[in-house]
Amino acid sequence: MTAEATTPPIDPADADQWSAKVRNAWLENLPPEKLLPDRQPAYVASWIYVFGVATLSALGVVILTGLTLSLAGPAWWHESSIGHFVNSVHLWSVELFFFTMVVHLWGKFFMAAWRGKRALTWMTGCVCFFASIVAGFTGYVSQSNFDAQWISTQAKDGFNSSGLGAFFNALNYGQMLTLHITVLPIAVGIVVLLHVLLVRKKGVVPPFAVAGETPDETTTEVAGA
Amino acid sequence: MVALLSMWTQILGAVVNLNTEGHYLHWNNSWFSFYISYANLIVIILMIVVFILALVLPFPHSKDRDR
Repeated sequence: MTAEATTPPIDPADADQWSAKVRNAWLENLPPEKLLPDRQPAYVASWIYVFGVATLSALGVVILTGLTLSLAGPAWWHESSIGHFVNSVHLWSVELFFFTMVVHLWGKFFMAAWRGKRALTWMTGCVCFFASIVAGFTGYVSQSNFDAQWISTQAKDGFNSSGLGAFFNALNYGQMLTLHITVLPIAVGIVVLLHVLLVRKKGVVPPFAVAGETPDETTTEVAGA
Repeated sequence: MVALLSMWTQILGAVVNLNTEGHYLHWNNSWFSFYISYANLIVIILMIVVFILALVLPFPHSKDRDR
């Protein structure tokens, strides 16, 4: 079921160009059949392997609803029916995002998913988890309501007691909103992209071998990712 | 569409009223204290249940699985 990548040969005269080097490095690490495979090893046919994609799907809804809210503004999400609805979908997709991400984390932890030189995959997942928590906190204080005011005053005390108050002011709505809708989504997006590319490069971690048996990653396969 | 969503929101709102103060589980004695909202406790229990179900429930296979 393998297909050979059909890439145009590089003219030797162009081999030293940075574009040729980058393209070669990309194709060596992530050939198309690895980047978007048709089949996965048989052990992937388990519900526990679904939660990574479920987290990505929830993140997609979070981003789409967040973009809508940022374009329409606070008056819209506080006063109109559609605004209430999109605001609620944003909240509940975040709940689903964290729910599925935690189940994904538990599954990968008990699989010791850092095995097989997958440490960077594991670490990018950890960074994504913590960056998402910060994004969630800045979201709470960006609601522009009494709930946000209460949370930001509590957060301000936490920041000041830890020394972070010298850099961040939770009472500064503009700063919190900017972090929430630009800096943190970009950071989470980049880390998630790196995480997914690493999963594709290294492959899905196999289960622990049973009684010396080595899980077969190549011969028995199931369709779909 | 909006009317349908509004209807479902009202039905759900009638079952669980979220527009009130939070309810908390507070369990403590001389050496131990445990304090959590029922909402967070329910979410954590649901995550554990879903995690266990994901491990034990069979995954649907396509017909060509043994090919």
